[in-house]
This record gives sequence, structure tokens and C-alpha cells, in this order.
Amino acid sequence: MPKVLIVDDEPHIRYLLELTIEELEADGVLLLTADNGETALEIIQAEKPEIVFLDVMMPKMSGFDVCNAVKSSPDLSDTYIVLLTAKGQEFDKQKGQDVGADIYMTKPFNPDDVLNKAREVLGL
Amino acid sequence: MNAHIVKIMVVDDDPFVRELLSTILEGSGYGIVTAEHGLDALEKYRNDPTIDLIVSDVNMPEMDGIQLIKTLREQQQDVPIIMVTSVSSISVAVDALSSGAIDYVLKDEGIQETINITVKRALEKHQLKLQNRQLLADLAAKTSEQEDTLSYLTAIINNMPDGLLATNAQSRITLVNPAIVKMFGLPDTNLVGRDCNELFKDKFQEMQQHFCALDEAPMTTSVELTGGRIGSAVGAVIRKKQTASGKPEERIGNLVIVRDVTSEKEIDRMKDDFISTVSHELRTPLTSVLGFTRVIKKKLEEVIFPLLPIGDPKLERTVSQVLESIRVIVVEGERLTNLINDVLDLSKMEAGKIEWKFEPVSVEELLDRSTDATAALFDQKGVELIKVIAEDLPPVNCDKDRIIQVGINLLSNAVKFTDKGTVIIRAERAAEIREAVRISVLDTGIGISEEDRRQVFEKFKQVGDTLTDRPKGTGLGLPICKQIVEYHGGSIQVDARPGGGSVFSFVLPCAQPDQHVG
Repeated sequence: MPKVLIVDDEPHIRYLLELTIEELEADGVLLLTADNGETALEIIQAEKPEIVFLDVMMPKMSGFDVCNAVKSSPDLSDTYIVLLTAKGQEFDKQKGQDVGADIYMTKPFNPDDVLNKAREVLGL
Repeated sequence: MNAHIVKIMVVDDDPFVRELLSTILEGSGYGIVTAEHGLDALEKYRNDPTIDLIVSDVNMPEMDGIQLIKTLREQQQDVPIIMVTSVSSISVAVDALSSGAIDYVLKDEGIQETINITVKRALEKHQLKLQNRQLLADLAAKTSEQEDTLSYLTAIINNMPDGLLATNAQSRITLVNPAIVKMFGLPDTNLVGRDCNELFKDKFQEMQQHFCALDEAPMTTSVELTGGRIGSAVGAVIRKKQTASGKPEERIGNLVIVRDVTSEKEIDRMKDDFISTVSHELRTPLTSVLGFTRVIKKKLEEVIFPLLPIGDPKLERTVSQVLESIRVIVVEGERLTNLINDVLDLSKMEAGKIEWKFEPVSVEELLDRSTDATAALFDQKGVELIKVIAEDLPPVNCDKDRIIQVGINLLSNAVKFTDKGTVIIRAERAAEIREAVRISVLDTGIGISEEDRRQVFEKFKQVGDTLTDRPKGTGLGLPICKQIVEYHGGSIQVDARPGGGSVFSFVLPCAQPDQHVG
């Protein structure tokens, strides 16, 4: 069963992403959520989702750190990571690339783009 | 020599001698005044201080020659005096010289020649003395002036908050001020004469070497100061102008001025933090507002509206009102997003935080990409867009994405304010500047008044009445265009288009001939 993980410390944004991707459940996709980086990493290790929508600015463990940890462990490095950030600074984009993120989306993102990206990665 | 006649006073109680000397000297072209004794001479000199020289006998009634000299000198009169003495009284001559006579002449048969020679020599000697005195006075005045200047400069150097260090050609310190001693935590001893390279073993030495290599233009570099503070150092060459000796300018050393910029850097960092925090705090709720609105629209359209009974006019009206309301929320939300992006963009540009990627780019590409990005806007409004590109335009040296941003901005402005007619985007060689390309956007829109044209490039100065004319942008688009174009060394302007409408145009410098389109 394909899995999608949504990681954001903001409950509203998390819910928005859930609503956005929810229709994929009809295609048998399992939706997982996490509200911080540590939990996210645990879920990624346990559930091995195909795609992760990952917020950058989170307390304790940032999205960069999670991404770096995932991309540097051989059994998880295939995970497709979409970094979500409010910052539009070139510095962040560069850092996103450095930690191996697959793509970088700036808030406010268009939910349709998120849905299409998920479909594309999951091959639906 | 000038036409001035040298005036000589002949003083002698013996009318024969007086007459003799007067005749001799008059014959040599001097002007003559005579006096019978010392007192008479004093009186006459007081009445006519233009007398250049006195030739005086020694032994005279009332006041003798020696007394005359002494009295004149006591009165600070500098007039040269030649003593005429008889052969027998050499000791008197010596006495006269020590009292201040300039010379003496013996009263003998050769006086006719000796008096002329002695007078000439005395006048010359006196002239030299005056010149010498003037030189000394000038020198004293200059020295005093220099001392004043030096006092001012020393006070400024010692009290300025910037650190200052001067070295000679051998890197030995010639000048330091207290500020630089404090900045680098240098020993509080006399540093003049110390080797600069030895004293600054860290980065400063490197900088100093940099500065030694520099030739004409001053250069700036960043240096670490004590206590983790940051300094900005400017180095310049000290050249000595040798106008007095007429030699060419000589490089005599280097000057380094260091400014503590720690707090400026700190403020910069705080500003960056503030901007990214504000950006984050504004975008997060905006993401929810826009995202959920789109979700609502989708749910309504896909799930709820199909369930509604068809044919109820009231219900249909409500549905269209709901959809219009949602559309407004999305449009305004997007406008807010653009505003945040523009504010961030502009503040980064003003702070010099943008990385520019300059490369030679073909003008066609710039125009094509700008028109492609705005084609939909023109279609929506039914306004025609015409592209005119002059032949054989050279590539321009620019940051492609930024210039396309300018193009898109000008084109979307043009279509925004044009309800019917055409918009032309045109590229041509700039007539007034060689090796530059002008890109213009001409519209047939509402036009801009002359007063407003002066303001359109200022921040938040959207022209028109913002209460009655609903603003359609952020008010930052044109200021951003201006920043971008000016960073390229170009200029942007707006003119009225004859027959209505506006012309926005900007000029970009061409790439150097050896640069190729990448």
C-alpha cells in the first residue's frame, strides 16, 4: 500500500494537506501525519512512505535535519521529499538542495500542485 | 633695477666735505639730503624715513656720529650708516662698526673712489639683510601655520572613532591613533617605527600586503577586531606631491582606516531575521486562507453543487454569489502573497542580498520569454500584443531572470491599464548611448499625468485615486524594476505616448564583444 506522510507543526496546514491529498485514499493510498521532526523520522523509518511533505520551520528538529537524516541513510534515501517552507530566500533553496530534498515548494502553495506531485510520485 | 632713486643723507659739520661728498654721490646718480650734525640728521630722518643710507662724519658738534648711530638703533631704525673717519682714528671706526655702522670709509685723497664703492657695497649688503630677514619672517609664519595645521590634524586623528594607521614604504609605522590601538588590542607603547607585519601577525598583515600591492584606487576589506568585533578597513596609498622641488609624485607609504561595523552587521542580521520571520508569520496563515478556500471551492463544485435541484433561480443566484465571493478571496489572497514577495524582493535588493547572475543574453530571448509569460493576460482582455525587434541587436549583459521580471512587469502593467487597442514591445539600439539597447513598452491605455509620471517609480506610489480606482497591484512592481535596471547600469523612464497611453522604456548596456551568448 503506497504511503504519504505529511509533516507540519501547524495543525491548520497539516489539515489542509490532509484534505488536499485525501482523495488519494480512494486509490488505496495511506495518509500518515506527524507534527514534529522526530516523530516524522520515526514514522519514515517504520513505515517507509514513498513521499513526504515536510515543513522546514519546526521546533527542535527542522525539516532540513529530517531530510538530511533520511537522505543519508541508504535504506531510506529513495524517499521522495518535498520541502515546504515559508521562506523564499535563495539561501533556503540552496540548503534544501544540500540536504538532498527532491523538490522545494514555497508557502502559500497551491493544493492542486501538491496533489499532482503526490500522484506523479506514486504513479497514479 | 627699478626707477627708484636711492636717497643718501650726507652728514658733516664741514661744509667743504659735505659739498664734496654730495657732489661725488650726486654724480653717481643718487639723491642727496644733507645735515650739519647728528641732531640735524635725526630730525631730517624723522621727517623723511625714505632715506636709504646715511653717510656721516664722526666728530661733529651737538651730536657726534657714534651717538647718531646709537640713537637711531635705539629707535629701531635700521637705516644703514657709513662712517667717514680720518686716517688717524681707526679705533673710532671700530667703535662705529660695533655700534651698528654698516661700513666705514677713510677721509683721504682716495675718498672719491672709495665712497662710491663703499656705498654700493653697503646698499647691497643692506638689501641682502632685508631679504634674509623677510625669509626668516616668512619661514616663521609658515612654521606657525604648519604647527596650527598639525595641531588640528593631531586632535582629529586622536579623537576620531575610526582607527588609523600609516606606514612608510618599508612597512614601518609612522602614525597610529588611540582608536586603532584599542581595536586591535595593541601594546600601549610608542608604536611609531615598529614593523607593521610583525605587529599584526593575523589577517591584518594579509590586508597590509594587499594594500602594498594596491596601486591607485583605495580598497576595502573586512578585518577581525578584538573581542569578536568586526571592522571594515579601507586602504589607500600615500603619495607625496613634490611641487617645491618639481620632482614627480612619490609613493611614501600606505594608509589604513578601520571602522568598527559590528553594530551595523548586527542590525543587518536582525533585519534579515525580522524579514524572514515576518515572511513566515504572514505566509503561514495565508497558506491556510488560500488553501482552504480552494478546498471549499473544490468540495462545493464536486460534491455539494451537483446535489442541488436545478431550475431554482434563487438557489442559482446564491451559488454564483458564493463562487464570486470565493474568487475574490483567492484573488485578494494572491495579491497579498505578491505583496509579501515584492516587499521581500525589494528589501533584499536594497540590502544588496540578491545574487546576480550576469551573462550575455540575446534580446529576442528576453522579449520572447516576457511575452510568453503575459500572453494569457492579453488573451483574457482581448488586447493585441505586437513585438518589434530591430535587426542585428547585440546581446546585452544581464541577469536574465531579473530582466524578464522587468519585462513581465511592464507588460502586465500595460495590459492592466489598456482596455482596447494594442500594446507594443519594442527593442532597438539606444540612440543616445553607444553600445546599449533600449526596450520599450507602449500602450494605448489611460495614460499617466505628468505629475504622476514622476512618482510611479517610488515605493507604494500607485498613481490615481486609490479609493475610487481600485488598486490592482502592490505598488512595488515599478520600484523593483527600477532597482533591477539601475543595478545593470541602465535607466528606466516613463513618457506620455502621443495620442494617448504611456511608454515605459529602459536601457541596458550591451555585452562586451568578447562575451558570447551563453
